[in-house]
Amino acid sequence: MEDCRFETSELQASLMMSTPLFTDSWSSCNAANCDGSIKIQLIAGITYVAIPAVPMIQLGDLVGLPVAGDVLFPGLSSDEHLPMVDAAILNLFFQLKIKEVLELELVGRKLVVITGHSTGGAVAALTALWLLSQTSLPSFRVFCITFGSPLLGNQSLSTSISRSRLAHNFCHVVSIHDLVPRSSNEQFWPFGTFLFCSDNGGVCLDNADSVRRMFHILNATGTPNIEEHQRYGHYVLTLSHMFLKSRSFLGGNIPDNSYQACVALAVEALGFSNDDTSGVLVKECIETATRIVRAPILRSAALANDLASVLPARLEIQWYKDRCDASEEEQLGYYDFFKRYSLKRDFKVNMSRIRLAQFWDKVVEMVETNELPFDFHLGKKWVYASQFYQLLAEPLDIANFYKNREIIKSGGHYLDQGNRPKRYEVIDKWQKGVAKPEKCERSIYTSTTQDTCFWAKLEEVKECLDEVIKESSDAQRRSLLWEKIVRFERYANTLVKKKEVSKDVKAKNSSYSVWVENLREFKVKMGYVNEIEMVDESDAMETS
Amino acid sequence: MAFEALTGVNGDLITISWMASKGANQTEHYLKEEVGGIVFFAFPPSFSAEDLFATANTSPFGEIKMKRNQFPCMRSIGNNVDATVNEAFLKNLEVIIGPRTSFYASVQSAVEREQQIVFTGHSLGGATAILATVWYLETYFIRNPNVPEPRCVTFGAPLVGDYIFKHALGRENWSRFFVNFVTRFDIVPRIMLARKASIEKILPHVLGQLDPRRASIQESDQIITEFYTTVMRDTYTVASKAVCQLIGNGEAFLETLSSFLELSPYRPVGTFVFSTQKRLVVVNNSDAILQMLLYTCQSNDEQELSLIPFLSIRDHHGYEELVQSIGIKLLNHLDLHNPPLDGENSIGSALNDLGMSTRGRQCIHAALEAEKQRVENQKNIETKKDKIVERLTWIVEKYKPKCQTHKNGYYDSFKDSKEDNDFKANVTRVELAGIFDEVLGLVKKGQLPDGFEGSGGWINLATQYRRLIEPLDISNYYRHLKNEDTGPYMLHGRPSRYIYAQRGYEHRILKPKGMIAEDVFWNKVNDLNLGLQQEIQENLKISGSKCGSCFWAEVEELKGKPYEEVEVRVKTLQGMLEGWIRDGEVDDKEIFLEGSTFRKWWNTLPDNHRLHSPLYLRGRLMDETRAT
Repeated sequence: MEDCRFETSELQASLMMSTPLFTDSWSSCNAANCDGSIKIQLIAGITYVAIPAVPMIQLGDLVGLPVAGDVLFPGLSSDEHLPMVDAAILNLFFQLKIKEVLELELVGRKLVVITGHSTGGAVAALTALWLLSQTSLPSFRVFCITFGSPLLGNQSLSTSISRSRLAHNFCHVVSIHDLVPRSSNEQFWPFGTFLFCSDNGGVCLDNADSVRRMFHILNATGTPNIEEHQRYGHYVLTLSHMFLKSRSFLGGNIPDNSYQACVALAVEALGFSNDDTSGVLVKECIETATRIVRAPILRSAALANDLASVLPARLEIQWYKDRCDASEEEQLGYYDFFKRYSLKRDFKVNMSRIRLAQFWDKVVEMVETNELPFDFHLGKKWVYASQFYQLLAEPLDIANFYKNREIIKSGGHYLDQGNRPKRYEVIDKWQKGVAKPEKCERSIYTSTTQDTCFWAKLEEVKECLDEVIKESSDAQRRSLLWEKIVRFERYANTLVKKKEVSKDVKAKNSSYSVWVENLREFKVKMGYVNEIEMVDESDAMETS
Repeated sequence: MAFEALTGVNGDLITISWMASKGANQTEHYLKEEVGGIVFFAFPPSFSAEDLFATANTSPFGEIKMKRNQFPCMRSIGNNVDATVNEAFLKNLEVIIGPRTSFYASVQSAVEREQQIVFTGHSLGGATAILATVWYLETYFIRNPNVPEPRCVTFGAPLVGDYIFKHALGRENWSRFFVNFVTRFDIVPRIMLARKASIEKILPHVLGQLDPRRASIQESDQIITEFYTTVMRDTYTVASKAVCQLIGNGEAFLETLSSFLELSPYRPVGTFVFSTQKRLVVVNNSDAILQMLLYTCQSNDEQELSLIPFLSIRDHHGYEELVQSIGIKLLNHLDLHNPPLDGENSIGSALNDLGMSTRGRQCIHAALEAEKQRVENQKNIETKKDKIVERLTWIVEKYKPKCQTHKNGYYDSFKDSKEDNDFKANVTRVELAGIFDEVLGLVKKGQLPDGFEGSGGWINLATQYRRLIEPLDISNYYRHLKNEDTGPYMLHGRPSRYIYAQRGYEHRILKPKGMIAEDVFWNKVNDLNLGLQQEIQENLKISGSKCGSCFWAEVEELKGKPYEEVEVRVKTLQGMLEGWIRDGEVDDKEIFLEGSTFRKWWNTLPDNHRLHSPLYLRGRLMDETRAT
């Protein structure tokens, strides 16, 4: 690892173990286990919620976690595969009436640690997940610390937790000899940071693959011990005092390379020797973990350079737009120019469009596959860059779509399912996460139309109007079409009045101007009274 | 002697400092000694808890922000945050420099005679010495080039200030004035790393044990053991968090964890000299010193573990022995050229003496590597200087003159963006923005050496950049009417790279006056006699008149608004203009051109205003006045 000179998996674990969080959450767990009931206590400004362990329950059956639409976990993002959790744990979650208890107890708290030992830990994880996946984030910070808890759910639960960027709120303390956290059922999948500990120290691993690999190594090499599951009190006591002692290397010569030296220490912290086979496996596992963790930071740095290199392409489109807006002769905006012409200049701008599209597709894909740092899309730089890109380029993508559509004569619209490039939907989502400053009234048209899909909406109603004018369809359909036309007309009028559109929309020969004129003629012909009302923007948006 | 080369102080100076520090025990506020033309100010230690944690202070570490008008240099320029220090220590300084003591007058007379001053102290007296040195630097040193460099020599002093305190001293190149001696196990330099809440109850007992005037301690004092354990636990957490952050792995988890922890803000400043039986180890790197404070105090086995709490108190009184043996002890310097990992070389044995474990060495190595990386980052930025200069030169030599021939200047030409050159200028603007944003990003994350922000060459370049390119950004902002999306340029639109460049520039020009930019601005405004400051404050809250390179933004905002509504702002702008032109903030060859936005706007102002505008402006714009 060229760029990585140090390895922090053991340091992270020692840091965690030196904090009062480690000891206080264990003592809370202990208290909850003794009483067999939920314990809530305030220690040094932190609220500890400890869930008791319930022995003798049958674990191992997965049940779908109701996400979308359900009130329990609305914030958890899920793709095609359903996140699933252990049925018995979900059952306990309801039985213990955790929702009801916590809704009252946590009001006004600042820092909340949810903790539990064994099955209590799994319920604690589910509880933390419930708190963190509400649509409005809780007013307090949540940290979940479990001790020797069985795995909670399947791989898609794990994936959706990391995609929802919640994984860093979980820390699972696991003894290397404890069998309970390693499920024999391969469908169960880890999430969050795992703190593996032995009598010699601990190591943190925070990606699911490395944790699973560690489980396999432990399964293959360790001597499991049934009593181990009850020994967390011992570990907490021993490990929370490790900070007083020097941490020196035991096994002969320490590697010269400091990264290797760090890994060697980490291997010893788990009670393995660097010389035997299982020690080597552990070493490889830790090395892979660093590589996986390290990569996003490097990628994000490289991406920033790539962004700088595609900037001229964006400026090129801006320049093109300005020139089109200024054209005296055609009086077309850049949307129509681009749709209509294929001159050298248009070709050049098309290259820029494609270059940008490729770049942003790459970014979006990297974000989706968690290849970038977890808070990447929240960085101001990327929020603005993506917004500027979308405002300028999406009209060209729409133009391109309809240009090709005319050539291949196939139906379907830009806004139909699957036609709009995914990157724009993702960028839309990012923008929603940003607080918008209050809008004031505009005196002239904006430089770019604020609704990036304006042209796509226009193309749809253009077809509607053509169909209505042709009078080829039946009355019922025509009235439907007419409704759509009127809705868009109002919406567009509102935008224009508020000057939320760029001046290319209002260019004399733009598609929009032509459409408005056609509509007016049609209305005159049919004898409709031309009344235009303003509508609320949010209502109008539903035209799409 | 090598020692002097490493620390900037020689053996004699240290001996006298120690003698003075010892002598100060008998005084209430300070002791003054003059030896060989050097004036020594020594401060007495205190062993009462309220001198460690100010009574009314509710912060978890007894900290408080320094006041900017009293300590204008003690802040970060990149993040614009004032340094934090221990309030009890600061209060103590204020008593000493206050009218109740003769200290102020004594310093004053030493300054007048241009004598070198050494501030010194043992234990909490050392903390006072550090703050007194900072006060001296801010009050005398920055204002007068004849004032000699001070020295600060402390013995077993607690940590005083936070990361920004350390960063600011580094930026001003003042860290080299501070030398701190620490005997290996001395608990006092570590105390401020512990949470007040965790040590409060037993602190009075421990301080009683530390007080040399009290009875000697027993080896098996349980409270002392508890105290040592508590301080070490918090020190461990702080130091491990710091090193994880330096290495930069597992950030998300670390952030969640940290938000549940109270972590001491205090950081070492200056040079530290750790001593053992045989050796002295000199370290300059603050991150490394923090790790040393932890790892030199761990134990190898149970026997040591039972002994160290006792040693942690005893070593606080080991400075007499240390000072006497400076000449005979082995000396080592810990830096990147002497990597700490290798056990064979002399630094290796030095670290063995200090009881440094493998883990400890790794952490120190990581700290030193982090500094190396900062230096690398700076080098990387330096390589971009040529490109910046080249682009700026193009603007000055090609773009501006070309635009001026069109009688409207580059601001308005860029706004119209009709020419190919305007496109080129736009690409230039964006390219440079990328470079400066990158620099600012590094600065904000502390990824550049502390001294970077203090380097004159960089400030000059950033100033040049701000003056030349910010008008283009403003032009772009108003061309695209972003003000109607996001509000006035000054409120939401101004890129932080310019704000940062402005702060760096202002800091440099105002430092010798010991003033802060906000006060200077209001002094100028008050000189314009536009009304009471309180009354016009609201008017000028988001005014572009606070910085010359925002001139155009102010013009754009005032343009089209009724004169009566913005009279104060118009008058402030014109009042500032002459000074800006003189300083080179605004280009007078540009703004007065016939087609410029400024000139066009000026012509719309009421006759009465224009006729009564300052002579300077009337002279410049006379033709127009006559014509209308």
